[in-house]
Amino acid sequence: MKLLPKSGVAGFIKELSKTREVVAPVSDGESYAVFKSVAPGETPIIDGSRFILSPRSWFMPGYEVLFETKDGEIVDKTPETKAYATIGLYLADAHALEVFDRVFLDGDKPDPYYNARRADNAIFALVPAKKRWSVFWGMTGNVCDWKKACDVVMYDLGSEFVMEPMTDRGAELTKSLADADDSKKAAADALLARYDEGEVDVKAIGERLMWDNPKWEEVSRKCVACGVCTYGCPSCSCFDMRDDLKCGGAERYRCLDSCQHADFTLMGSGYNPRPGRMPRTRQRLLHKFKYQPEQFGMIGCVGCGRCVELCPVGIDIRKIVGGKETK
Amino acid sequence: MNPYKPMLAKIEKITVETPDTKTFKVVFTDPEDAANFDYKPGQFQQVSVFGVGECTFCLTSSPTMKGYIEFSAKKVGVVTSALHEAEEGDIIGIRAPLGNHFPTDEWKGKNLLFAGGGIGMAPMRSVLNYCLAHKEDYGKITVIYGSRTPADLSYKYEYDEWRKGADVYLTVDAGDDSWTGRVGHVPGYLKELAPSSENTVAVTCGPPIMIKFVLQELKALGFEDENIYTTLEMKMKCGIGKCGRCNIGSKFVCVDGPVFNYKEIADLPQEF
Repeated sequence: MKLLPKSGVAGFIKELSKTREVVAPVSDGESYAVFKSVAPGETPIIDGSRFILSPRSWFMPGYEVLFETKDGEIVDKTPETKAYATIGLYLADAHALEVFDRVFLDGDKPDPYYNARRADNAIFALVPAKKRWSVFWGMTGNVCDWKKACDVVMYDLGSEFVMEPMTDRGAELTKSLADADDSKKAAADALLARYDEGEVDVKAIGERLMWDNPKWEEVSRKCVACGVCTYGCPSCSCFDMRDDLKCGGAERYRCLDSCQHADFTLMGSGYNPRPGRMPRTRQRLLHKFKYQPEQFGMIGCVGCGRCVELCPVGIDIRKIVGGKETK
Repeated sequence: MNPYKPMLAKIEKITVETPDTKTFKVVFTDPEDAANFDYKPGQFQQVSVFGVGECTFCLTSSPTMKGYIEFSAKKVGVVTSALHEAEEGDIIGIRAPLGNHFPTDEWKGKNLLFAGGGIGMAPMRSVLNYCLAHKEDYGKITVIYGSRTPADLSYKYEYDEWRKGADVYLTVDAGDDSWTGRVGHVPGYLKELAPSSENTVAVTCGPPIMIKFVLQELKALGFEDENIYTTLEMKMKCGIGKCGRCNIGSKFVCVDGPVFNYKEIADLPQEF
């Protein structure tokens, strides 16, 4: 393990940016921090002190042109694969990328747009010094396992980060830093332990969240179908594909979409298989806690807590999953 | 390979099937695309009208028809309206083949019963023509096809060809002056004809209400769930199991479907 004093973060990033494009949370000028490529001289926020929007906005932008048509030809707009380093995402966000990998990279038709940003991206994930009120990582998985999703785990010990390399690439990128002593290592382990909630019983959750549970009506009653739970989510991957006319041709772009919206499943005939807020709320929960575990053995929620904080009517996914509202 | 990038194709022929449905015969403009293209009955495609959008259609042609593909579009929304305005010679985009297919190899040696309604004949036409072209592999082939009116029956120009290898029974909900055939619904006709379920596979596609009653009749005739096939329809965008729309339980209709038998369907959450 290595040590990075907070006073050295700017220098570390400057050094890193010599070989990699650095992506990190930067203030949006108000209360949020947003993931973007860090411009020279820009100071990223890597301490969990602000509400950091999900890195999904960078890995899967809210608007991305897939191709254009020009003079009767299709011009592929897949971005070039570059060397990136993503710093300051939460450990849960790094795990969310593992969920994304299953969705976007598995199978015989991998997604080239996501892959271009993911293929050579060193992940420096943060374990914040203070656990936010909304965070429930440990309810959705084994947080120690999530370290494998990172190149380097950064434990925030207040005035410094303990940097734990998890890969050869991570070791290479942190080799110039000073070594951490045993007391720092113990402090890092103790910090992560605060997020751990023991064994997660996926099967029990699945049984509690039965499709025909009569409680779904009650659970979804408050929902105003704004979709912010899905837009804030680091592991929600649903998208729409649309066309626009351009001068001399057309473009097809991908944009975020949400299973919470009525037209997500509305068919041309006028028939909608998920016609109200109840089936749509149920779909969001079951997709993450039952269908994705069945599909690839991983809960699709990472317990980051953003949906809990962003929901305008206070729907708390923890109460639903934990059984307080579904038993 | 970019799975979101369509192949360019030229509309070679447009056939007006019914007052609201047209069949488009298209050929790939790139000879390499044309040479590499192969599919199985039941698979589907995403059709692009550039600048308007993309829409999902089954491949209604059969893999035994070489050199072109066909799809039938009922005019219901934005992309299908644009398609209905298209002319022969226009260039569109095709992403195909997508999804699974009817297990025609498993069906070898069995009798086949097709019960379709309206535009539901589009996916069944592909597998029907495929099986007719390989008639020696299958037993008795029976087709029961119905629509609201005689004008709503699709693929009329093929019925004589079908009759060479199959028993074809047509019915309409309401006849007109020229209609001398049967008047009535498909499930009722199925009950009346009472085909044997012995060594027989049934395929049914059509409006949900028709399917519901066809299923009842098939069960009454002794068909087992695993011997009844259909194609499920859900809204789709990506067609490759990523955009999330056609998710039912742990399945994606675009990857695990669109072809399912009723044993598989019984295991899904009933929201489709």
